[in-house]
Amino acid sequence: MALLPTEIKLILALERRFPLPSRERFLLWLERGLFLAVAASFLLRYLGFETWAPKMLGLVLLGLSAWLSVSASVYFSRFHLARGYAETHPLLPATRWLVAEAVAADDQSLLLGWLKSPIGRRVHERLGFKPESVLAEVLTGGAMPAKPVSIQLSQFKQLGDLAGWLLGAFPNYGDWLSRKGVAPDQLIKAANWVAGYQAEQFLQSAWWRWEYLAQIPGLGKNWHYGAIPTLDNYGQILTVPTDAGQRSPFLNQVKNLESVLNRSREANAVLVGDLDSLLGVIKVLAGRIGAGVTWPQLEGRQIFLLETGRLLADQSQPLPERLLTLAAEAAHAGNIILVIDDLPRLSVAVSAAGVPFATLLDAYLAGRALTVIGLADDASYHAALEPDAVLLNRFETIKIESPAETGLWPVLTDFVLTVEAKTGFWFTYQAVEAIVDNAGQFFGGGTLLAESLDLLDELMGYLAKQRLRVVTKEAVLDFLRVKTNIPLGTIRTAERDQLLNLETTLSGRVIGQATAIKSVAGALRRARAGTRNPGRPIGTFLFLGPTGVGKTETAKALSAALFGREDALLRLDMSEYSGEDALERLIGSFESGQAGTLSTLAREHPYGVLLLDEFEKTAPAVQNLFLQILDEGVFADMRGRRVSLRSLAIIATSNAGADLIWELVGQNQDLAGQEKALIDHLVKQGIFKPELLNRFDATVLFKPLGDQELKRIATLMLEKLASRLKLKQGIKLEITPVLVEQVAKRGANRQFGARPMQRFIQETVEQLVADGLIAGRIKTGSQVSFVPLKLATGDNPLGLELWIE
Amino acid sequence: MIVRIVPNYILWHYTLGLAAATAFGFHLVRFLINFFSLGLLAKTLFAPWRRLGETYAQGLQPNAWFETLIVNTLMRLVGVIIRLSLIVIGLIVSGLAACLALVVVVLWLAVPILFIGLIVGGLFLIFD
Repeated sequence: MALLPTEIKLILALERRFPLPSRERFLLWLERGLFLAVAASFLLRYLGFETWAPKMLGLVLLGLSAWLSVSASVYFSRFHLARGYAETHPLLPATRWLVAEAVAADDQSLLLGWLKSPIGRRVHERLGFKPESVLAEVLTGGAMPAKPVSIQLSQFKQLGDLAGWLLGAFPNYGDWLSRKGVAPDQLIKAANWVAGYQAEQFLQSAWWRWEYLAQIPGLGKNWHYGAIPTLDNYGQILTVPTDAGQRSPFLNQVKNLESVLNRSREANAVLVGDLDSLLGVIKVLAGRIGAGVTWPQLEGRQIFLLETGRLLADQSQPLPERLLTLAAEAAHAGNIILVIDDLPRLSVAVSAAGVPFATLLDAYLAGRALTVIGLADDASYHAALEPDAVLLNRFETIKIESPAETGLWPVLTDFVLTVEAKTGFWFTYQAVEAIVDNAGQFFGGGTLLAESLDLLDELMGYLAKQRLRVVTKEAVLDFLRVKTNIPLGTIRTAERDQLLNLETTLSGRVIGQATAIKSVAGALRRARAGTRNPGRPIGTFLFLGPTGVGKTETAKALSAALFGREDALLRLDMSEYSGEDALERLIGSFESGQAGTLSTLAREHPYGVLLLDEFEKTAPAVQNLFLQILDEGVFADMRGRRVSLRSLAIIATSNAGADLIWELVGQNQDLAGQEKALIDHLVKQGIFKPELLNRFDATVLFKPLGDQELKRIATLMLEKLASRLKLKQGIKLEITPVLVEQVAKRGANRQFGARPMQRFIQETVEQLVADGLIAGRIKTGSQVSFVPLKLATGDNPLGLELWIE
Repeated sequence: MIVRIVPNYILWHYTLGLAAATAFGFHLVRFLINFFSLGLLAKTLFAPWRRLGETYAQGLQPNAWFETLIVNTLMRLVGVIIRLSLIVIGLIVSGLAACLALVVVVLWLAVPILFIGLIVGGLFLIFD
């Protein structure tokens, strides 16, 4: 099967046998050797060894011939690699160079060629394998395709296409990868990643290519433009490496911006979006201007980033006057694109000084004298710029979308490679994938791009402490586990037992609510198994039932089970958010600048269980906000910044419908099948909208507690007290059936369920013990119990008296 | 493999390789012309240095007008002197680079002969 021309096979064989970097290293050592040999030859002549000096010179000449031949081979390889990597190789007009490299290593089997080729080995290395063991392990299943194949290499537009094809043609290869935990998609993406950066790294070092030379900035390019001494006080010229931005997720949006800036009049734009993305767009624009790939009108332009804060802080001159001076200077310079980092703020400040911003600068904004780009976040754009028709007449509004996961990949992988080059860490493909997957989920306050870069930054610090060099998916998940306390990664034995026995664990704390517990435990296991949707909160539950039946206790137990601590429970009493200002108090107010309770809570405690007590009492606007939160796990605060609740489990409790629950229980009906009846009841009564109820993962009914359940709760509470007394005072409290019965009977009631029981125990049992201690009747080591009163008294609600052994 | 690659290499050396070596010479000179901004500096030779200068006063004020004329002429002169200096340096460097490129192309043509010559010369010196 001759898929490649002989010349190409020879070039690639040379590259496999003597890789270019090793030949280059050899040349370096040879040059040093030759230098020493020449010096030695002169020394020999000087010392009078006349016969040895010419022989040494002869060696130098032989060395030079070796140097010449290796150098020629280096140029030969560099030429072919540069041609192949850059676009298409002259000898391979329709085939990608790396696809050719990937199959050239074996004439008989494409799979063998792939496994033996340098690029194939690198792809497997990135997937966390040792290349030498891959060959041996895969080949135990045979190296021939499952059925005869007929292919053209030109059908593979990318290396990943070839990898994908190999998986189909050689099922044993795919099976082996699956057994090792690598999905087909991961192989394909890893192949494309490695191919992309390998070509790019080579081309970036190929200094002799015109594309490289053309990017070096020249001297004297700005001499016919004016200086900007005053502007320099309020910001700086943006300097970025020249780059055509082909891999940037913002490329299309930048091209759109360029066409606005290229206009013959009103060449101004306001970019709306999150600040990270806006600055990303500006940097790509600067890179493209430097690379000379944009419109001729923009050639030689420099981007000046004006910092609004610095401008407003300077009180030496009235703001409008100062702004006019700066605009005049920028216009006079002739090559400045003025980027205002917070246009809404500057516009409001200028207007407050008496002149509307657009009117003040109209002479500059209308023509081409000055090009201005304003940056604005969504909320301040709507609040301050949108109502200003004059300003928007001079500025073209461009909405910048933050890059989604797909657009994020090139940026993040570039950053990973930079980190690798700087720090010596080495990332597997799965580790980078884990960073992208988890950044939005666990950091989630800003854009996915910013979150991923933040995650990577924090991860570096963690890994440096762990003295890890190879960054695997497990290392990323370990770091997230330490940071968030949320169990991630492989489920370990102890955790598996804990998950499987979750119902038993929760039942130890929540009495008589088996159905509710089952529903919550199931949702938890789904979350941990990774089958949940990462674009939503960990779990969302509506707990319905009368007061004092264990709704809050379940939330606490869930918090302990999920995060290992009860204080991960964030509690909001929603009855406090029933007024007209409820929404503003929760998400914050743009006018007053007050931050919202929910925004602050979610930002300060991104991981935990959010308990919304008495959810039915909250205002309709707040319920509407939760429609979005339950669905997407995020909301926008008063400044339009994203707040994420995706690492929270959300539990709303309500005793709405408690009357119906009592009624059903009174009719001896099983509550398990009655969710629908209760939901219909709540919708009919207008308490909750059906679309809100549908968004919860589960609506869980808590049934009223019967006598037996109340006794078990009483036992639990008394046991806690007994253990406290034993630990602190050394007193043994005997929990007798009569004590349990009295506490259950007198400490609970129909209206509040078991809620008053704790207080009842404090006021009766604890009080009697405390009195005994103070009176000196109870001492350390005493054993106390409660027995029926000999004489009934009105001031003893427990109906029992203390008996000390 | 090495034996099989030699004829392949020789063919490349005098076709695509030679073309690439010549193209590199051209690119080097083109880069230097661009690096020293020779075209741009020639076009803007008489422009005022960094756009420095004064605007002419309104109305009939011969003194002020002449003062401005002198200042602006001086700024243009400064521009001419600095630009001319860079143009001269750029021309010299580009000229040298052109000569170097020519030498490289000639040496490129001679590499196989040079290679054999070095081996023969080396062996001759050792065994003489």
